[in-house]
Amino acid sequence: MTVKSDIDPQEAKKAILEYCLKKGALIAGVADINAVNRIAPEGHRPSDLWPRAKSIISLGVGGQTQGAWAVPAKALGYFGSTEVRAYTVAYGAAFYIENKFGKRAIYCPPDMDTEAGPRVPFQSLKLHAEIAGIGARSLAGDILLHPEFGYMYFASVFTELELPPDQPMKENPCPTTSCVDLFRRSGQTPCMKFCPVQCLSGDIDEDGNQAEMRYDMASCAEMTQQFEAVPGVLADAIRAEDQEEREDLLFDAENKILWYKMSVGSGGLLGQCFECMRVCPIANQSPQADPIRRYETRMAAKAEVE
Amino acid sequence: MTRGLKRSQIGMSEEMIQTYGESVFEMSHNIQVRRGDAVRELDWEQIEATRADRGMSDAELARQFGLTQDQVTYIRTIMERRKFKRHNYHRLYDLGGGRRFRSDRFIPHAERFEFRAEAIELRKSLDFDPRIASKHLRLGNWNGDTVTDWLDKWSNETPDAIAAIGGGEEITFAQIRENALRLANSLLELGIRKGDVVAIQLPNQIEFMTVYFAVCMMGGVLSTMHMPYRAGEMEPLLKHGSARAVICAPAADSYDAAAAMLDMCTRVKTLEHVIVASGSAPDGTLSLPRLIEEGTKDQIENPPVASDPVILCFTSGTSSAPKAVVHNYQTMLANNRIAEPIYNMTRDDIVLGGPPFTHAFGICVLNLTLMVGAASLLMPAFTPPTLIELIETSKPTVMFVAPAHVAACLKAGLLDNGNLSSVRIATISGSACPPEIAYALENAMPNGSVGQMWGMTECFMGLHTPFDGPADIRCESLGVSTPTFEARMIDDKGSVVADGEEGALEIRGCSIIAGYFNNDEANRTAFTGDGWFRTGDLACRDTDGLLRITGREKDLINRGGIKINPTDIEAVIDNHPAVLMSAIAPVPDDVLGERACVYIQLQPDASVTLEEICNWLRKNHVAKMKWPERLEIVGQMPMTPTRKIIKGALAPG
Repeated sequence: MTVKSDIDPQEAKKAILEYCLKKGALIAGVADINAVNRIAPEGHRPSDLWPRAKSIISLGVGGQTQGAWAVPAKALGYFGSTEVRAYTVAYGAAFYIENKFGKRAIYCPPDMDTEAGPRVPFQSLKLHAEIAGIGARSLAGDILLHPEFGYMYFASVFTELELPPDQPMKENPCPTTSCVDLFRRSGQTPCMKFCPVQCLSGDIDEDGNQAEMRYDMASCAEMTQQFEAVPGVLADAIRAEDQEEREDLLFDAENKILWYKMSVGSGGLLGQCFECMRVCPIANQSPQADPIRRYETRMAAKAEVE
Repeated sequence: MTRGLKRSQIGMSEEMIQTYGESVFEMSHNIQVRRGDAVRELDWEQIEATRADRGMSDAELARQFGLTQDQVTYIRTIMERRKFKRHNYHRLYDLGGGRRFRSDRFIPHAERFEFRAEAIELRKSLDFDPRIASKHLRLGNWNGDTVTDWLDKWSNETPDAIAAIGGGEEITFAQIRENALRLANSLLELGIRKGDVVAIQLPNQIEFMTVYFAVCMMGGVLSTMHMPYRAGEMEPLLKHGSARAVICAPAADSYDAAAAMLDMCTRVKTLEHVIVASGSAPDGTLSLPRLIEEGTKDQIENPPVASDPVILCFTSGTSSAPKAVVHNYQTMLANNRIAEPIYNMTRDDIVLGGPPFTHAFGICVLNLTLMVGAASLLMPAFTPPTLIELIETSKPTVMFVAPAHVAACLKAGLLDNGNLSSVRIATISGSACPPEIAYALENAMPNGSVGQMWGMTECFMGLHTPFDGPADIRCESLGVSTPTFEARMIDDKGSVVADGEEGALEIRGCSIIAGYFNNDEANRTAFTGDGWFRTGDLACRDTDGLLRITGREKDLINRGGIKINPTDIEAVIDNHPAVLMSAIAPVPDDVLGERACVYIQLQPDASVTLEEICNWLRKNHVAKMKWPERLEIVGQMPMTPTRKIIKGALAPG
């Protein structure tokens, strides 16, 4: 890698953030890596993952469409996959930095720390975004919110390139006036009131700012982390009293969805086994179905022209 | 196991999990508390002071608790597993699309509706052959209709049209629907659930219809009890169906139904409620009018669907062992939909149903009337003058009667003098109808035609004569099978007999039940493996394709290997001047196996001997081998509610 010596940090930051926006991010910023290292818990600091990192670029992409909020909850759950778009932008940005500035960069792993199990991420992308000033913690379990872009998915890039950091947001948009009003009347904000497992509680001070946010993450996980259900289903099936109960546990529609999701992850058979196409004469014996013959035809045509 | 290391490698015991588990779980990320907005404000002092509250990492916990990080990770993940409430995810199914979580309204799934064990048991009787089910579903013979759908349709389209006329009152579709809805909610309020059996012993009156519609609305199963039944007959039926409630008439001179039902509550362990069709209910019972009045009009949350059971009837039983017949909406209503074009009824019709609603024939007529949105004309109790007067005053256009109804009117001399001009079509069914009875009714209707229908509780309407056919077809045959049904006659060896020959009648079609409830022996006898139902009737198909019932299989008398069908002989004996009605049944015989015994109910002040009966038969050209060899005089012939003789109850004195 050729390191470019005449890099202007301000210009580099501008170019990198513009790249992120051009590729689909709604907003991007640079987090002060020293602040993040100081706040993140041991084992999950940027320095734990990559001590040579000098800067964190954090970016956010849009979540749901407006229409999505009106669909049944079981369908809304599928829209979470938009987070993958944020990861794609960050993945490209890491290459962009290395190509353009000759400085090492990594796309920050967005998933779980394999040693610690499925509830512990390598890094807190949320903390990066908060320190980069592109979101502020809400009463809804510290989900970051932005006054302009609302609810976003975040991704991060670490780089050896030193970039001038941004500051956290000056104001926190949460809670809004209407949320405060409801809280004054009922002791709950809308997010607290309508949480299906009542995992949120907290307090708002006299000025209408967050005084305390209490989040029962374990209860929240019961709604979102169905991987925990898989071993539970199997354990219950082993303990089932009769064949009927065992069959229900393993094969009812909801549980079969769990197996389906696992199959997607492992690249198993989904949709077609293709045995029908293997024996279909049209599918595999048509003149141009065979790649070798197709290539030969193309070459012959080319030779004829020449 | 954590990081591939076993418990023994990290020094972990169950006791350690118990000791540290709760602390590790609560002080890790699982419970997070943030005070103020310290991170955004970069308030370093506050950030450090609240670090533990925000949830500590495994490394931080390890240091604080004096455990290794592997031990913390192991304990934490095990605790997360143990505390994970998998079923909480089901809450999402009630949310979104305009629905939000309300803690005060939420009912955990484990506490939501559950069928009782008895209801699940009852549903097992709907054990249709999948090939048969597939056929009826694909052809559309079975669809999603329920009785409530039909009631709602007319309540919406013609709310002010008369749904029923009875007891000097009229009730509209809108009114009876509202009453039924209120009663349905009251029944639910009493703890009666979808799938529960509600028994009823009421005559044909508006209250019966209201109860029927209410039970249909809330998803119950209505079990009908014939009016003449008393505790001795009812108790085994209520037990067999595991009835939860029984609805009965108020006390009359000769019978205190409520007292009898209350007494049965102590012996029928499932029976919880006795509901009396009276404003003043005796102690320990509930008032039906009050339940209707006090019920809410809330929409029923968990209404039945077409595959749910709807009625539990006990066959009228010309044998002494009734069988439990469970119909779902699919088998029950398919029959009405398919047969309706034969009757060509409209919502302008007034339909007089002679058979009691406690009988499948009565329910069938009720459904047919509802289906077309016509008015039901109710006759709570039959006497010849009552029937004729009802026809003359209420002017029904369609009539369903049993041969016994017509015969009684004829004998009373009321048929010729009555004004039956309003009747467009009259269907005779319920038992074999002598042609002269059918002709008599035909002749008494200046503007109407008689038709005949054959049916059974197990299948509802199975054979019909066409109303546009000639009189001899309508009065002397049972016509042809219901569209989509098939009928065949078989011999002793199971082979189909030729046209013109008598055989055991078997039918198959979309309204035939899957099997009797909890009666394996009867199921083995009555159902073939390929969808045919053995009716127990004897029949023959004429060369013109018309069917005639010639007798009952079980009535055949095997006299030394010769099978004697008593039906024709009884018809001859019935015409003897001294005889009111007769029945021939076998008596055991050491030599021949069986011999014929004739049971006779005499005309008032008449008498007769066996010799006189035999002379009468000789005079009427009945072969001597068919003559009865014993005579028993009975004071009152045992009859079913549809006025069929219960031969199983006859025994030589």
